[in-house]
Amino acid sequence: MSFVPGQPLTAVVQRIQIQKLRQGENLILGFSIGGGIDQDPGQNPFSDDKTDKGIYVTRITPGGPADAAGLRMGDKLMQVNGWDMTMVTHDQARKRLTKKNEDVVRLLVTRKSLEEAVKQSMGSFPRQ
Amino acid sequence: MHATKENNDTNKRSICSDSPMTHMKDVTTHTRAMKLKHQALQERLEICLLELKKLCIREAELTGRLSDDYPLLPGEKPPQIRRRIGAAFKLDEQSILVDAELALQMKIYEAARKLCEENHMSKAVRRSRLQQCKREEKKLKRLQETAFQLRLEHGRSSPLPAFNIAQHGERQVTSQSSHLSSGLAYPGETDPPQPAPGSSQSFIDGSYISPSVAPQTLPLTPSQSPHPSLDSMLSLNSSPVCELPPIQHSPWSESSLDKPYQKSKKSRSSSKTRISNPESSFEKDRGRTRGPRRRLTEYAITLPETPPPAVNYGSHVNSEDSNSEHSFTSYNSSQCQELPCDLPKQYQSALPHSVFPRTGFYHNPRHQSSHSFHQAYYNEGMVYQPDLDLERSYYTQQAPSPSNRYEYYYKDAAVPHQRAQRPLPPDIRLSPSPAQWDHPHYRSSGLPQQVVNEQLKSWHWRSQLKSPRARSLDRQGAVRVKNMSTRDVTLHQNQKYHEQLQINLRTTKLNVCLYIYYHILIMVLKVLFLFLFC
Repeated sequence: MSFVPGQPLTAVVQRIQIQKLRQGENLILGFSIGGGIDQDPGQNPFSDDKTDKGIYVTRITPGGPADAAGLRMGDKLMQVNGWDMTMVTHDQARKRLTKKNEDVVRLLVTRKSLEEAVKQSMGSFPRQ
Repeated sequence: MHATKENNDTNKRSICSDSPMTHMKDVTTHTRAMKLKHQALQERLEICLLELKKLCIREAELTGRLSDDYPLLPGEKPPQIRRRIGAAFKLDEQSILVDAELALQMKIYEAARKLCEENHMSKAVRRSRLQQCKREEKKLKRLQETAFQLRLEHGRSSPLPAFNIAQHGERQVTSQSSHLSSGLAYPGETDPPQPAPGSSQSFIDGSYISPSVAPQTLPLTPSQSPHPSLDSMLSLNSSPVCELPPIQHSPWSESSLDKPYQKSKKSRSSSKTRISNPESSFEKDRGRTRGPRRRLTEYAITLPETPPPAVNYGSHVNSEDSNSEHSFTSYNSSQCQELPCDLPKQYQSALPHSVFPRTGFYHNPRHQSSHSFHQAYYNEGMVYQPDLDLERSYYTQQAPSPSNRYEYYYKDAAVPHQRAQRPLPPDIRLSPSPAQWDHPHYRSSGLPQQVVNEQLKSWHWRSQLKSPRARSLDRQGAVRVKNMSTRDVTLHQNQKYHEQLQINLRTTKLNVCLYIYYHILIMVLKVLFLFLFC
């Protein structure tokens, strides 16, 4: 999941659609994020590459909408409703996720286990 | 490189221990393919050896002794080398200092500029940053000039050798900055470890490069050819530029997405008490309504301060409009000598109070052109009277434009100024005035009332002289007819006249464009206001 600046980034992603839950006046998502280009990436406990300034899921409310949708702790958000999340500040990321007039967010997330799963599945079928 | 070097070595060995090996080789390389390969390799080897010889000779000429790498066949004696006379490569410490300072100043200026471009700044902060930026720019220019002078003095034919040093100085700066930041490794960095401690020493000691560091830098630069250093510098510069600005000022924090978005970021712990909803919504609404308005006012004020090249069409406007305006103001100055010079200053102080987005906004594109004038021209010709109405009062802020830009315009304008003043001022004056009257927002508001009245009087007088046919809407045609009627116009004057016509045509086209933009802006603003209030 590390990137080389100037080169296209490829990752195995999973699409997750979260239906926001209405709690009173707010629409809640049920997870917390960390990271951003204005943050220090060295303190990110979930990233493999400590220079990765992407947005990571740091906490998931058990039983919340995110949990139900299949989001896992440690996931890196690549896109939210089509908006890129790999080069955004923390605030921008929050903004894009907590829009008041949207009650569904479609995320593209990537995680290490996905990559490994794909590699394993590819490995088990020899190339023809 | 390594491969060829090893190749050379092994092949050298095989050649040196000559006869037994070749015999064995003949026996073993009996297949045709092998023979061909062998042949090709030998040819390559010879080429490489020749190159090596040439390089060694060059090196020997520079250093004075032949290196041990020189390939010698057995029985061959080393060639005679003559040290090149006058090849004194002493260090030019003064220019190194200047170049290092220049590199540093460039970085400072770049940083100041980036600060200026940041969004969401208060007025005071933005102004102070802009001032800082301008100061740094001036310093940078001074340094550049001194560096250039030094280079000229030392008779460097191409700026490359010095440029290398400057680049290397810049590389030092970037490596330094990389050390200062959280130790991120730049992917493209090829700096040998040597300059880095040298650079840290030099910059920490307040940009005094000690002589111990200087010898380190020079030997490195001649060994690198200009292009790789340029490329590496570019790659280094581009990556810091992309990575550094969102500076890691905040530690890694997480924020819960269960709360509505608030502008002020909450700190780390996700278990915050929720802000009451009316409060948060109020805050947001306030932020929202204030935002656009604030932006408009800021735009109205700050646009004068942005450098002309920043706006694409604006710069075009600048070049065209300012030329014409220069010629125009020259006529004004010839007539009205006593325009008070302190009026614009009064105006500057009065203006910040009367900022109103609606009208001020529209004049900004126009203003873009006017602010490229030199201050002196403004004092002479374009004085705004306080009793002009609100629209015209927007014409403002003779904010100091970037110095190099208006110096350029000043020089440029000086030429038409002189030429235009001599021949028939009344005749030539006629041509801009119809242009002026056509777009009163843009033109006449730039002139004081007396000037306008005088222009009008002269125009009326002229128009009485003209034949009815000349009163066509096509100004160019009108002027041309008038030109023929005055028989004493010389060819020289005709040429100037023609140029003036061209200028006028351009300005009228420009005015039309501006007018269109003006209308578009009005529409946009109306739409914005509609959104705000519904």
